[in-house]
Amino acid sequence: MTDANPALAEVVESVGIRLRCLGQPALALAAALAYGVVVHLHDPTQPGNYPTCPFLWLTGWACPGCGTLRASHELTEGNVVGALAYNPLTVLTVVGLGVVWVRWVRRLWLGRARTLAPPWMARGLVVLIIAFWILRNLPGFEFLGPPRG
Amino acid sequence: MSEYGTTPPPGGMTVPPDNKMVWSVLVTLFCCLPFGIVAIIKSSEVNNKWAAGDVAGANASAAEASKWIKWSVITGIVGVVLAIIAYVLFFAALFAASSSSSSGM
Repeated sequence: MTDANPALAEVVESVGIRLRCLGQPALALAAALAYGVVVHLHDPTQPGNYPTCPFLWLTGWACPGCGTLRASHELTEGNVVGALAYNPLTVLTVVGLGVVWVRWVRRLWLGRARTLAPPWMARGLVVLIIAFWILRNLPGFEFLGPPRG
Repeated sequence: MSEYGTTPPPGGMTVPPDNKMVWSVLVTLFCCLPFGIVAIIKSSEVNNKWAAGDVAGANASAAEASKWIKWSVITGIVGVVLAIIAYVLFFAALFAASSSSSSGM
């Protein structure tokens, strides 16, 4: 027992230190949950509940983010197909952010230093978002949402 | 730092700068402005330059990404505030028009 106690105290202290490192991910998770609650209760699929995207309003073209609130709302309803119809990039981003968040928590928990994704991945993300922006404004790509009036 | 060439310098500089990619993507989705695209490009430059051993360049791109994220957030907030003001003014004008036309009887 006398041998086990210092070891146990060490483990408890180590876990405490590790938990204190997780303040930022906890804050991010709280912010994401708060966003989900707001967008679930204050329905963006009803016109007038949120301001229109200024880029869409000024230019008549959808930006890469257009439909994000409505897609988020559909996700909180469990309607993935509806979410994809408003903005598939939003659904992809939610999945991506989930993966990034888990990796972030794991890195902090293990006390490892930050690493960067390989350059092809970062470049691919740039190409993906710009291609999505252009394509969703072209005829024939209406499925990239949001529905045009 | 360019005298280090293509190899990262030894010691404490082996941890890459934060490329802020998550913030860049979030402002692109939520602030609906081309500034977000610039931020994403700058964030991705951090990965490219770091992988090429360009520590100073990676840090500079990270700072640029932060700058564009900041401007995207600021213009996004200003845009929302202006939209709300325009909305209120529109209904105020509508109300004024309807009340003046009825008083004009």
